[in-house]
Amino acid sequence: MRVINVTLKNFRNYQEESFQPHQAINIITGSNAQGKTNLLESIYYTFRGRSFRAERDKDIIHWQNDTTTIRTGVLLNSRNVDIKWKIKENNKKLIINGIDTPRAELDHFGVVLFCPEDLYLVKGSPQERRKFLDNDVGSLNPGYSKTWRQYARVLTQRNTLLKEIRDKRTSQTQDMLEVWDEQLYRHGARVIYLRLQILKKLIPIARSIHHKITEGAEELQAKYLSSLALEPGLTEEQIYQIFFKTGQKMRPTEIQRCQTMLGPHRDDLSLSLNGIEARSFGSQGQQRTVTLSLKLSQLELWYREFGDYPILLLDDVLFELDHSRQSMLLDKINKVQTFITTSFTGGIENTIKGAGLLWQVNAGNLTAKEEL
Amino acid sequence: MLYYSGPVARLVDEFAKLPGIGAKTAQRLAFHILNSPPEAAQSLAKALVEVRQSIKRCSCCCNLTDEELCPICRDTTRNGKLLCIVEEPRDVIAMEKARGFRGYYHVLHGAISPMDGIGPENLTLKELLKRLQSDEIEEVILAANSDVEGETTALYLARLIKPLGIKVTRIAHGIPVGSDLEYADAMTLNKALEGRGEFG
Ligand SMILES: Nc1ncnc2c1ncn2[C@@H]1O[C@H](COP(=O)(O)OP(=O)(O)OP(=O)(O)O)[C@@H](O)[C@H]1O
Ligand SMILES: [Mg+2]
Ligand SMILES: [Zn+2]
Repeated sequence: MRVINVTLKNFRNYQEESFQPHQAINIITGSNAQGKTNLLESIYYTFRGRSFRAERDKDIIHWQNDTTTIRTGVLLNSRNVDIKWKIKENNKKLIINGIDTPRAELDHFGVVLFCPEDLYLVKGSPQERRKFLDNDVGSLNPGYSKTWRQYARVLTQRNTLLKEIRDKRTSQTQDMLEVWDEQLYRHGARVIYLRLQILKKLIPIARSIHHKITEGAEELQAKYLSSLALEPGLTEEQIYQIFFKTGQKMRPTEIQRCQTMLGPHRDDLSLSLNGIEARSFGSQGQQRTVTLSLKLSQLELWYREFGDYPILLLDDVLFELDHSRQSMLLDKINKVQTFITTSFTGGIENTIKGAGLLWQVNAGNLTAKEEL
Repeated sequence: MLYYSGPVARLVDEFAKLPGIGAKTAQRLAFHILNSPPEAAQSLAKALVEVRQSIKRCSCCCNLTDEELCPICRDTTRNGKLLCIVEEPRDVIAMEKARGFRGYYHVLHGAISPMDGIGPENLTLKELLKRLQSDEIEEVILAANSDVEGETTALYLARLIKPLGIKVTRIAHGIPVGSDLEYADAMTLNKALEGRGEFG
């Protein structure tokens, strides 16, 4: 998969910009606050339909305007696809090859982002790792994002109902709750099942990459921690049954607290190195390497599943790695179209001679500086 | 945010309450009316008042009509054993356009959604149960949308209707994207109708 061209109108600090990226490595340099991350954000938005850092769509629209468009030409399985987003404060439209298209179509396009915030994946709260499960792990199965959105919707609806029941604002409590329970267990079991399916393939790849990066010094272990008592190898139906049984017992507490206490929104991923929990005991460098292994394993699994590499976005992370990890990364990505932002290049131009393009950003203006 | 005098501001506010209309469009519509001849405004106002006065719910299926019984409920050539339950009047139009269904309808006027404060008591269930008791209905086809709220409504209805000994089936599973019946084309809709399975 490859981005052929990008045209931005009123996206963040880009008023009008159009560029043709290199098919391999694109290094985007410039001083702070010029628009390097904004550029990655626009590519990420193209494929995910949302930003990785803006809370609201309004934030990505140029301050003096009320609409932004991102238009991206993509080569996917030797087909040309024209993806266009038209985004306003309160509504957005996806147009693929000139036709209004539901967002789910984008699940076939892969993008992997590695940014400084990803360190929280290892050292942050369980919520950070659930974000990883939904955004990163989930993207490896084209059906996941829809399933997850439905589950999230059921959850909000059910929590609202729990509150109504507690405050005695509704008459049909029991049978109504039973119907929402059924929805919760069905969709929840599906989310958990899909996560486990993907992790079963992803974890071994991450382990072997981590082994290689650390030259055999560290064994990475990753395990799904569920709020339900699950054993390995369960079918979706079995997960549903377990959710059903445990969920029923939890109900009185849930009404009291107006919260759904069990389900994939409470689950976590445990990460450890040589048997020691990485979250509390890993050094900064170790945590960064775990993240790197997890990100690289996504590239690899995407390739195995779909026969093509996704787009890789590296925001300010390359130069945080030591030399051997940098070259390990660059070596891994020689078949992947990559966008790297950095305020200083650290001489990397010389390492990747012949394999990319150096770009310069100045206050929302992008220029190709030199062929590497 | 607006500096218009009373009546103009009121008109803009009223337009802005309509679905899909933002502040800017509301202003544009208001000025369009102000710039067109007085008769145009008169006839728009008349149409609005008339539609509200003459259109009501059909006493049988709750679809919108200007008569006591809607044309579909009056049509005696239809199959009285089949009843199709939909969320909105626009879903009846979609089904009728597809021409694959020859039974009768019941319009719920919504779907169960705690977030929007809509419970079973806000839907036309009283009217539905009355029909199920007296009519010759043998099969109820649940055609609520395939989003979470439509699914939940269908589940709830299945539990309500099954004990009455009536067969309950569900369509909309085969209907892709957008999840609204409204957007399904005729062929998809008819296929979903043919392939309906027992539900609940
Ligand atoms: N909606 C917007 N409209 C106009 N300008 C914006 C908008 N949002 C952000 N900016 C501007 O974009 C700039 C930030 O761009 P970006 O985050 O891409 O910087 P960067 O080049 O990655 O910098 P750093 O090296 O510090 O990470 C800021 O100057 C900010 O004022
Ligand atoms: Mg930046
Ligand atoms: Zn009628």
